[in-house]
Amino acid sequence: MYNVAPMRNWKQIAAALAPDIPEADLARVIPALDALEAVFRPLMHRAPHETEPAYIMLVTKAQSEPGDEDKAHI
Amino acid sequence: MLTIGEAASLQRDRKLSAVELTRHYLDHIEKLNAKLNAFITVTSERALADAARCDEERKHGKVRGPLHGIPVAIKDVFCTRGVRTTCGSKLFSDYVPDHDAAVVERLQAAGAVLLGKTTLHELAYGITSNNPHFGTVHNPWDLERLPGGSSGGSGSAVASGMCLMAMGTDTGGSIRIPASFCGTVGLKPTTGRVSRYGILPLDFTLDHAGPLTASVRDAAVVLNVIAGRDTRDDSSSARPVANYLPPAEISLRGVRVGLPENFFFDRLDPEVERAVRGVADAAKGLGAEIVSVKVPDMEGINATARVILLSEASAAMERFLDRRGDFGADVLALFDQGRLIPATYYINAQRLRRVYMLEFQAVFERADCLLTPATPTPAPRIGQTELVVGGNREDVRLASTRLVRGINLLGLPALSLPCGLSGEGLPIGAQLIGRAFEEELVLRVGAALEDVIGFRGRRPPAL
Repeated sequence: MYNVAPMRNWKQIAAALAPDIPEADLARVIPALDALEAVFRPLMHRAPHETEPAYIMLVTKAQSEPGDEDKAHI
Repeated sequence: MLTIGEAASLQRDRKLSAVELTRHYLDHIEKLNAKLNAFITVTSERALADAARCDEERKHGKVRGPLHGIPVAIKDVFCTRGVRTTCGSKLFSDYVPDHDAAVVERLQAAGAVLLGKTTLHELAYGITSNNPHFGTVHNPWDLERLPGGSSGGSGSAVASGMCLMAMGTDTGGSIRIPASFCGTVGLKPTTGRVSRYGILPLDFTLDHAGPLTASVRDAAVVLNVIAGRDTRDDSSSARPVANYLPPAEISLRGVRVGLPENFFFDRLDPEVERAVRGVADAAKGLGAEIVSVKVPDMEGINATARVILLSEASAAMERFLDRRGDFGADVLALFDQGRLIPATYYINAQRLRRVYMLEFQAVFERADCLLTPATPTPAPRIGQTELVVGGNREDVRLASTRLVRGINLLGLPALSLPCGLSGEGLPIGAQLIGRAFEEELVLRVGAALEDVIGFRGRRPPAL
């Protein structure tokens, strides 16, 4: 069972990153972020250490090989 | 209600010209659009000019493709040269592109006639299509109900017979939700199957383009036209394009249709569950083997998809977010959320994406495609913010995307097709999900089921 660190302080994050968000608007989004974090945060431990992000891979002509047509997909 | 195939035959047999067909749809739009608000922009002059050219070409033996002389509509996120492309937003209300989206290029090369641009949820970022700048779109089956979104105008236009096909985009269900609510077919192809070039982006790794149509075979005809490699879209696949049109006679013998034993049938309107399980029975009657499958953690997949969408959408719109007064309150709230999500969350969400994609492959070792509901309920009322489903109170947006959103993260093809009407006369949508790049199988199963379900051709009584 993984320990889930305490929730983030979205108000403080907003003050630093997005001070233009009015207080009333912030009050509307914080509960949604709290709810999302409650589900998402524990999931982050599911990816084995060596798992790379599933970015779209770009392959130049010089790099591509026969059968590489779908290099853009994992 | 005509299909693309029928309209093409009528023109081929000289029973109807492209101009006559186009005039019919333009008249229909004029009659109905005030009630439905499915179109933001109607391009009447251009449509009639295109149709006249199609007729002239046919007279000289030239038929451009399977959509020659077929009147279509395009969601107003696809750039159309010389025609304003608003994205349903005040920010783009006067934007007139100097180029066509790749999809528009291909449709036109195949002979399609552009009727106009359909209304959508603001910036394609929602499921109601209640647009604060361009008005509310209405469901043709009940004008007090949502058409779904964000491709609500496309769904409403096809369901009401205002066009033979309407293009949509789908980031978290935005083709399949309007298809389900409006009683049309809606296809979200595999990631990379259809070029995103020229589509104003909501998101960079979850956006997909696909058609809403009156029949599964029509969706296949359109996919034949729009699928394929486009070097202007880095994610566009070079994998060869199949012929997606199913044969006239279809047996599902040997096809394993997976029915999830977890998640997809939890918390449903009972009529939706009954209708979709009825589709499973129909598949069995056609020779398919119904297999019970366990799907991975869909709640986790949905949460992961939401982290990616919130982050990417806010990044895409960053340069506009100081114009707070130009956004509707609902999309502004989503952009605000996305601005606060840490970069580590986004990167880990993309790592989890890989984990989930690999886990889901195990499901397709037991089944060739999955059958699920598309939405847990029929269309909610306009203005409704919560639903009660299976005894639980749920936000309308989260409920409506619950069964479809995760498929965008996984990159798999998914088809919504109507499978019945509720007791209140509202369409119910089933969803077929396939392996990556197996649109041919998904469409074949869908067409076979559509033939026996008997929904095709039904018109909304309200109109």
